[in-house]
Amino acid sequence: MIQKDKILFPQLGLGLGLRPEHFDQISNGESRVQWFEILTENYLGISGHGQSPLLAKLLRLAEIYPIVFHCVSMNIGSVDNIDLDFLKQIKELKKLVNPKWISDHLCWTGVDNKNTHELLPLPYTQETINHVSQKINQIQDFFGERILIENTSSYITYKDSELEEWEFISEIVNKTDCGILLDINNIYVSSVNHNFNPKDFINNIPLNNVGQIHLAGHRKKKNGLIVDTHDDFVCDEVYELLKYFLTLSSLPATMVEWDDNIPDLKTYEEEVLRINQFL
Amino acid sequence: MSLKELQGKIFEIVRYQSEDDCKLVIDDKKIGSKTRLNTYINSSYIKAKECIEDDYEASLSFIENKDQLIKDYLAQYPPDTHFINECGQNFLKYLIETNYQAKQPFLLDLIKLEWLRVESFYDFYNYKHVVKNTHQVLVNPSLKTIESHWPLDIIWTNKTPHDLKKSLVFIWTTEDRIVDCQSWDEEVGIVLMELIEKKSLDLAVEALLSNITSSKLTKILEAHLSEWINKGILLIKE
Repeated sequence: MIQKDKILFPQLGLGLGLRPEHFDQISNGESRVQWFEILTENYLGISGHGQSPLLAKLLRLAEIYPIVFHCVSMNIGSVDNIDLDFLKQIKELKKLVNPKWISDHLCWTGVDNKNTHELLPLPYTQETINHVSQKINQIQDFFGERILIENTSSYITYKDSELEEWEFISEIVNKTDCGILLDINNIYVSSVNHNFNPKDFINNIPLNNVGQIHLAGHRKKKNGLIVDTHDDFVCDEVYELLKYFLTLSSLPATMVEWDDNIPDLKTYEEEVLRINQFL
Repeated sequence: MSLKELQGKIFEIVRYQSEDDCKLVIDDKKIGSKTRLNTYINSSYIKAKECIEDDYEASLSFIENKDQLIKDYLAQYPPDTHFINECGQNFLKYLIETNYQAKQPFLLDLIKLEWLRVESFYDFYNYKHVVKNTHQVLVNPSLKTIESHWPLDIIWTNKTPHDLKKSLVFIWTTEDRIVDCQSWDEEVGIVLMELIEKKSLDLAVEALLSNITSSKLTKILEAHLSEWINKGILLIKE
């Protein structure tokens, strides 16, 4: 069972997504940030092929910096059962790395054991709330601690949805007491794609449960949609939304995601260190 | 509609790249439901397609209409693990099942070679044997072999067809994570294979001497043993 009385999540400061191209510089002490988030799946062993080639480097960094796990494959929203083998792999890695917490997305990635490798949105219904809450509770029981769930960016709204996204998330947090990894870029992207006020999102979620913030860059497509590409600088509107968040709450552990067209370490770090200007 | 039904339908739309069934998604004036759904359909397809194009770069260079083939393959065998790099593992199986008529007679062997290259890349850290005795051969755990009637390593490198020429191709990953493949003349290949199988220099030499003269074997070892060590295929523990 999770420890309900535990301080929800420690404030780690400003962090970055750990990217293999920056390993050596970070190991040499050239980084100015305080913690790193890893994409957990990249460090798991590959079935039948031994350990991940990145694991040894990660273990060296984990001796110096706080690490948090960010997953994309728990498939929390899917009607499929929890993949216990996958969770066991994460647990094994967790024993080695001792991360501060584990997060994944409030979405589904596939059904019938098939994987789209997409973070597909869920219909915001009571049935989904019950289903997802039960799975989050199962995962939290498995790890013996709270996990954080991240709001995803989305491009579709299901006709079946009965609630706003923030109502949906709040209800799940209420049922599970899980943490929130608040992706402010995703709020902005979805607000443009679905025409809502992004401040309504921030105003209406349980801020006490926000343990981490993501910022990222995105792309506007010719068809009018904004796509969450993680391949560019963070735009001013997203920083403005972060400033708005800070009028309501203190800053939790915060980082910038950058997964494509990854810049040099200095440029990448400057994106997250900009936040110091707002504090 | 239940969550199960909805997810089943959305998955089929993404899997078969069909835009027809958009009734599940709100269609607004700003951006239509087809456009919105296509964002997921295209993204899911492109990730897997790029992976297959990387894995089968040489084989696909001999295939016309490769985009359609990849699309059909992924509809039949959508990725089934979180590790997207495994999405090409059934490609050969799919071609055999669909009785694919390859214009190049070496194509299926080349596909086998390219998948062994993928497996080799991920096997680099898969050490299973601890060396205890001297003269023991420590084989790179990523090493794979394939026999063919065509010189697959030459075809893979040049991406051009080649006449029949029997080959035993060795595939391995180097310490800087480069996957290499190479074949040698038949007798040289036999010596290397014996070293790999016996995992002992002494035992390999003993076995080889029943078929190769001592002077020939010495010449081969003098010419190639350090090459194999330098290329990272094996190590001899002194």
